[in-house]
Amino acid sequence: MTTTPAPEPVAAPVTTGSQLHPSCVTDRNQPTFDAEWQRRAFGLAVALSEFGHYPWEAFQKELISEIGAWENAPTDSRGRWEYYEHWVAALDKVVHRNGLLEPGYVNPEDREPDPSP
Amino acid sequence: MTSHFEYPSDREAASAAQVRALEKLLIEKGIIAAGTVDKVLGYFESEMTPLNGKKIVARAWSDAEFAQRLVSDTPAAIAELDLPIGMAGAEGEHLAAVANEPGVHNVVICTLCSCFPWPVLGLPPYWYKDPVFRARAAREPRAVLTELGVDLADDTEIRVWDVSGHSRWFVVPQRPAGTDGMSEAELAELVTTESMMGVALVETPARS
Repeated sequence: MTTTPAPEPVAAPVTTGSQLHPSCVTDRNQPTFDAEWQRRAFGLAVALSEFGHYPWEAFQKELISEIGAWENAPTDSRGRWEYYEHWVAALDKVVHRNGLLEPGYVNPEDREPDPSP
Repeated sequence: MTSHFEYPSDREAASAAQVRALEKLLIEKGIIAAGTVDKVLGYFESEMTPLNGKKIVARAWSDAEFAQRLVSDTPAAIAELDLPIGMAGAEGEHLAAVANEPGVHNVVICTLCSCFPWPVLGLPPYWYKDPVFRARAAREPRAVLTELGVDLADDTEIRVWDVSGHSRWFVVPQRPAGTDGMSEAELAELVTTESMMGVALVETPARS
């Protein structure tokens, strides 16, 4: 599945006033993922780099570019900030730029059943 | 897990499906093995934690010569300690320490994305990646620090270090008063992740 989700309207600023970083009051020493797919996206990007499929800088460059595009887009046309969406978009790009998958890949879950007997 | 921001479920579903597809196809093509991602995550979650940073700072507080070596050649100094194997990989080779001292306070941020000294601090908290934090900490670090409860003297210089893939900065906070005679293990307990990012100070322990 490679379709880009439709942009969501920006509803509210991501941070307000002095409640900038509530987590600062405690020592949070666990990775902060809100969902398992974010955790797996993180692990996948690191794993591909660790096993030599691209240098980490290549992933990082894509991530900077994705985040920069969001930051430079008009606030009324860009979606709500969601860090791991940029991470996934960067992962998708670096995977394709390094020829690891062909464009237009289809999730094995979504494939038509094999018609051959 | 706490969700810090509302997140539209259709966008979330699309991202989740894309990640699932990528991993399955990469396994199907034989580029990674079925357990590769779990193995990497397991390593990050069990070995690359702020516990490493706490031990490093406690050693620096206990050994002035180590503290100097830590700043001048961070990876070599860290290699002297008994820390998890693989600290040198996964970006550990780019670790770089900066030490707070009287009149100088250091802060680490990543202005362009979310680079972080993983091997010593683990993964960054969500707000570190927030566009507002990244922009404001670069532009007005003193104001941001004040909001976070870090009140520095007006003549304290604030140095902001932009973490990148080539330089993964972390802060050696100042040893608090009232800690004479504490062991390295006791000192390590006092060190917080935030203090090693420069967004908090290490407090003098309460007298028991």
